[in-house]
Amino acid sequence: MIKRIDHISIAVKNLDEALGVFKAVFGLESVHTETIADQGVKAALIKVGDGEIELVEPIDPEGGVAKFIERRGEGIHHICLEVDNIDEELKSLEAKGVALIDKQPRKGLAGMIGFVHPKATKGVLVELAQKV
Amino acid sequence: MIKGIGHAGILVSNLDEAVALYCDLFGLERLTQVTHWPGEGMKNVLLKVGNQAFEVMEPTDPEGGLARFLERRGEGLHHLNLEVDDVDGLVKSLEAKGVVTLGRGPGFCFLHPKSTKGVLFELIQSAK
Repeated sequence: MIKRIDHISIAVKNLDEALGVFKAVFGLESVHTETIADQGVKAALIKVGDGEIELVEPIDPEGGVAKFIERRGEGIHHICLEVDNIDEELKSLEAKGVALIDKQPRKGLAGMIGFVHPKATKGVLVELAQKV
Repeated sequence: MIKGIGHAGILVSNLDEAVALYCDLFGLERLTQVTHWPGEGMKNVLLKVGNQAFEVMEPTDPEGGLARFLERRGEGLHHLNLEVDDVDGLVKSLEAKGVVTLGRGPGFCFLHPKSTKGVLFELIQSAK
C-alpha cells in the first residue's frame, strides 16, 4: 500500500550551491547529507513539513543522474512514495508486467527501496521506499 | 512558512489513460473527477497519495505552455506544489530576493524554474 509522498528528488550540478539556493529562497536547510556510491550521487535531504526534498549531485559521469542533467538540465528527477511493504509492491508490479529497474529491494537513503522504470509510468521515475 | 509538500504535478498526453494506470499500479483513488481549466489550457484529475496528491494534467490548448512543455520534454513530472501559510507574504519576500514569479492568482503563485534549480514550484495557501 502507498502511504504518502516521501520525497521529491531534484537533480543539480552542484549540491552546495543548490543547498544555498534552497536556504536563501525558502529558508529550508539540509538535515542529512550522504554519498550513495551505487547510485553515483551525493545527496542531501531537506525537511519540508513531514516530507522531504532530496537534492542529488552526480559523482559518476556515466551514472543515470549525470545523463539526466546532460539531457534535460537541472530539475525534478524522481518522486519517492513510501510503501508499507516493498517486497510485496515490487512483486505485484512485476506480476502486472511493469518494467522495474530494481526487481529486488536494495538499501537507499529513504530505506529499502526499488525504482520503477519511467517507461511504465508515463515518464515519471518512481522510487518506492519502505522505512527501516 | 512552508508547511509541506502538497502535490506533484505530472503532465501526460492522455489523462484518462494515465489516471487508470496510476490507480491500477499504485492502488490510488481519485480525489476529483476530470476538471477543465480553460485559462490554464488543461484538464486535470487529483489522485490521493496519503495526505498529499498527484495532479495529473493533460494539455487542452495546443498552443499553450503545457502543450509546448509536453512536446519539448515528453510526459513526466512537471511541477512541485508546496503548501505555505501565507502566499502573499512569502511571494513579497521572494520577489525582494530577486526570485521571478510566473502565473499568480488568489492563494497561489508559480516560481520561475530559473530561480530554483530548474524546478517549477507552485506555492499554494494551505487551508490546514
